[in-house]
Amino acid sequence: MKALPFFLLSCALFFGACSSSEVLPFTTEEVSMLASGPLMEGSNTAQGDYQPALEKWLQSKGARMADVREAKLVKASLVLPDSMNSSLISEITLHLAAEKADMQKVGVLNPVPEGQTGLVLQTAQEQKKIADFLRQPTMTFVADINLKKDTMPDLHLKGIFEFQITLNR
Amino acid sequence: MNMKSFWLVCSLLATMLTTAIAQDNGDQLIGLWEPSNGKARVKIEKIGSKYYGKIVWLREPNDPQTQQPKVDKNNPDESMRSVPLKGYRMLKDFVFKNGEWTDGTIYDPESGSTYSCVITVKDENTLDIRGYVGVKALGRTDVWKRVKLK
Repeated sequence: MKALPFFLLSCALFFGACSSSEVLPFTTEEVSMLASGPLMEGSNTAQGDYQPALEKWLQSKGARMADVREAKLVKASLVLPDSMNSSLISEITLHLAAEKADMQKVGVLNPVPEGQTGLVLQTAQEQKKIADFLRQPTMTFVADINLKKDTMPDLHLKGIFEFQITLNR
Repeated sequence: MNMKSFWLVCSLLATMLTTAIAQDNGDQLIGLWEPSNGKARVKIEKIGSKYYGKIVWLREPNDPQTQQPKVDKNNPDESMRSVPLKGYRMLKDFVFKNGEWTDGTIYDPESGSTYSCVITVKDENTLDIRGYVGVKALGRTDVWKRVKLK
């Protein structure tokens, strides 16, 4: 009977070692996002489509889609056009959307610091099934931009987004 | 063109027309709407193939305690409690099928709770918004009116 706890502990250690994981960074290319004008004071929507091509990326890492355990957005950066700085914006909220995944809020910047063209958002602590977005052929980055006043006809943003992908190894 | 090709073309045209009509009907949800309590106005838009709605106007935009713009202070995720209510996406992921918008959710900022939701059109200026947990029959319906901009 005394051997039983040792046996169970050994099993736990063995299976724990078998289910080891690896965390890799997955950074998007520059994503062009557009809010079509006219843009009014208040909330306006900027959106940009992105093709993650996750399967190809995984192959380059010697992994498969089935190896993906989870994913998380860890950094979201937005660049405003030179003609506009952040003083016109009061807050920004970032969402992910895709046809076969439920929209999820993943970042916020409130308040937006004044006089800048590069902005880094605070990412959400709780994120669920982010890998589902990256598995889609196309996903959409959606930024709700709260403007302090009416502004130019269209707003073009550039976004770079960094995910952490956990793989079962 | 023989008869077989003719019927094939007719069938393709009919399918395209039906799809276009269905899409148009789905898009009648797009616009500015006001819930029955009149506390907010919600702009519904289409992103990809789905419909989403966000709060664009609040009757009382500031929190009476802080005198600052209202934020989502009841969100279960503490890191998201600084998200402003003005601009908040409270309707998400609605898909138009069989004459109604389904598979979506509605968020109640007053409780921080999210409910399953189905939207139906009563007439072009009136919506039935039914929120529920689990079973549709055990939900609550609110009537929203279209806001016409002057």
